[in-house]
Amino acid sequence: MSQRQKLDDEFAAFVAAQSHSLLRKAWLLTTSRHRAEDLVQSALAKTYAAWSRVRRADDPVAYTHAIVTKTFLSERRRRSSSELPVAEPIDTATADEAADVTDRLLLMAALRQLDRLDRAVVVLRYWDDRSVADTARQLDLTEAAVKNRSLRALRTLQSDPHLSDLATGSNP
Amino acid sequence: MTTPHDLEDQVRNRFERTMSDTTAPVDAFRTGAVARGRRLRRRRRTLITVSAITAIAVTGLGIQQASGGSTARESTDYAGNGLPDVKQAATPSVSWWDLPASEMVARLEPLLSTGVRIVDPLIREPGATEENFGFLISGITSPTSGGTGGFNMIFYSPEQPDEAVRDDGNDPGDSMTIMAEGPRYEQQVDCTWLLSQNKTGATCDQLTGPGGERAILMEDAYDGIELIEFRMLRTDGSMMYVSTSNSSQDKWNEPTSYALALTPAQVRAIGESDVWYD
Repeated sequence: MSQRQKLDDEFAAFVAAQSHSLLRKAWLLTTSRHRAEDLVQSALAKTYAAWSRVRRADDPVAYTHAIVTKTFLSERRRRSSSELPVAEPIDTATADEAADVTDRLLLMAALRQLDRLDRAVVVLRYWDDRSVADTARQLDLTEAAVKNRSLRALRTLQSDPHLSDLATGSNP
Repeated sequence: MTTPHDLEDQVRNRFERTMSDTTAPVDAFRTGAVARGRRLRRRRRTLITVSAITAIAVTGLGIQQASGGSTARESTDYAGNGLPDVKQAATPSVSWWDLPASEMVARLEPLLSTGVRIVDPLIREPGATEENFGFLISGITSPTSGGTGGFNMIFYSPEQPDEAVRDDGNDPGDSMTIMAEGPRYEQQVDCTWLLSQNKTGATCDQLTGPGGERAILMEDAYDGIELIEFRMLRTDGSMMYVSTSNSSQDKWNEPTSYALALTPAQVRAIGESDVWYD
């Protein structure tokens, strides 16, 4: 097996193992499945382009997640505040699946109310389970700024009428 | 009353509950990332080539001017030294190795013998919007030989020195370097080196291209697979690669025909043709 084939096989295994997790994170960041797929595709392309050294990194998974976050925030500069809510297509689904889809749409609508940097803070803190210090490092913020943005974002989500379980603490 | 800690836990739970059943299109991600990643890598390498060549040219110009030499001689001197032509390298968007796959097919077909057909060429990777550039994978058939198999053609941009390439601005590895991968081009056109790596009894002819380029024509056979490969290292540092086999499978795992659709001479003629460099 050639060295190139070996690297390609390794990369394929990496994509198979990480795609779902990367997509979920990107979906929470962008609030749109289509944009999330674009974001993951773009991050994986960058990872592939540098794979021969990324694979030697201490944590290739963290590296790729960092690319997703950084690419999302760099798009922020290009898109500015022009981001518009996007209706996601809903496929034919069972009642349970339809409930899940509705749940997801409501969550995305609520996340969309957040400033994109606040959204990144929330996703890194509560989806990636990163510490305040790590989140601050990733987003180039102070720890105090992460705490402030996090608190502000949580209050916004809590006040969203569609996420009433956050206000009451219920778990439907 | 909900405390901040409770709220954090509820958000975590909500995220988990809402996202846990979502799945990603893994195959599309992989093929799309590989296609886009290769283009990205090629662009980076081309850019670094332009920078390096420009630096060499500027340095050379300065030395020549300082020594009173004629500036008109320098491009000839660099070409004579086997370095890429500055004018060509400075316009990467029209570099021959960036030929779109559809154009590769269009230029390839007139080179084929009567009846030989290119089948199902991969113009773009599944899910990708852009065509492949300098990269063609297809099937090939010949009514004369009865051969059916695969055909590959890859145009390699000039090779970069190790640790010479910097990433673009968007990923965390901004200051890192990309290492050159695999055997060096010089080795890939050296029969002695190639045969020392080959364990299946391949034959290799050391050739000289129409412009004096170093080239090889290699024939290999193993497990029913027959394979012909041609490589030519051009004076601008880029490399032409053409191959065909009697297997139309992606990795040439199993033979799909007893005969090849092209002869070694035809493979060589395709690789040495000047239609690729217009």
